[in-house]
Amino acid sequence: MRHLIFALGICFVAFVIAAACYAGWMIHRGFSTRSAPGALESSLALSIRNRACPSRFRSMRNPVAVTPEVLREGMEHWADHCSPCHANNGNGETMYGRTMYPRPPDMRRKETQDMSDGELYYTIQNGVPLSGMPAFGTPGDNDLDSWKLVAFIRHLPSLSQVEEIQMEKMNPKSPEELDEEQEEENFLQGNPAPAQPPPAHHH
Amino acid sequence: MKRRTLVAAFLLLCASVLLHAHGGMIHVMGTVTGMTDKSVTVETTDKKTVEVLFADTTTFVNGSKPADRKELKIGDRVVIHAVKVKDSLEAHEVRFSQATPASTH
Repeated sequence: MRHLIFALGICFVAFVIAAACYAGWMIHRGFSTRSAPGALESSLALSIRNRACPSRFRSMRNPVAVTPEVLREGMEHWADHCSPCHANNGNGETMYGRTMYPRPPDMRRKETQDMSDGELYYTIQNGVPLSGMPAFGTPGDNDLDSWKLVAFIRHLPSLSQVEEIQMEKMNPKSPEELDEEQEEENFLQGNPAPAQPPPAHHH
Repeated sequence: MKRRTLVAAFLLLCASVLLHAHGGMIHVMGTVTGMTDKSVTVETTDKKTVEVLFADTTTFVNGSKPADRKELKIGDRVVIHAVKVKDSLEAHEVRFSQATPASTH
C-alpha cells in the first residue's frame, strides 16, 4: 500500500512538473497554430471526441437515400461551406486548413470513413470544441442538408477529377478572385495577358 | 532506476512534436519554356523565369478537362496554383492550353 501511494505521489509530482514546464514553454514561445498537435494530444482529443458522441447518434444510419441528385446537392453544399477548410477533395490542404489547430482531418481516410453516419452527422450539426469546426445545425432540426453532406463525405474517397473541376466553379470567391479567375481563363484561351499582371502571389 | 525510466517516459509523452506548414497558394501564369519529369519552367507574363516542381498529387487540367502530365508541352500557356515548400514551388494544380495568342490586327 505504501509503495502504491509513493508511486502515485511520484506520478503526481511528475505531472505537475511536466505541466509547469509545458506552461512555461508555451508562455515563452507565444502562441501559434502553425504547429500541428503532437501524437499524444491528437490521440487523447480523438478518443475524448469519439466517446463524447451520444450513443443514439453513433448508431444512426443516413435516412437519405443516396442518389445522383443527393450527391450533387451534397457536393454543392460541401464546395460552398466546407471546402475553404477541408478542400474540395477533403484532404484539408487549403490556406485555412494548413494552419488550423488542429488540422482538419483527411476526410477520405479510414479514420473518418470508419465513423458511423450518425457520428458524422453529429459532428456537422454540433461542431468540435477547441477546433475550427463550427456547429452547422440547431438541436433537433433533423437537417436533411447535413445528411446529404454525410452522403457526400462517403463519396469523397472516389471523387473524380472531373467532379473536382466542377466543384471549383462552386467555391465561394471574392470579387477580386472572380476577376483573377477570369483573367487566367482569358489568358488560357489565347488572349493577351493583363497589362499589369500580378506577379506570383498568395491568397 | 525503473521509477526514473517511468518518469522520463511520462515526461517524454507530454512533449509535443512540432510540424511546420506553409499557408497560401501562389499563382504562376505564363508560357512553358522547359520541362523535365520533375518540374516545369515557366516564363511568366511579366517575363520572369519560374521553376515549379511536380508532386505526386499535382493535378493537370487541359482546357476544362482532366489531363495527363505528358500532354503538357513547351509553348503551352499555363496557370499553375502552387505552394511554397522550403525554397521551391510545388504545383497543386496545373491548368494549361495550347491556345495561340489572339491576333492583334
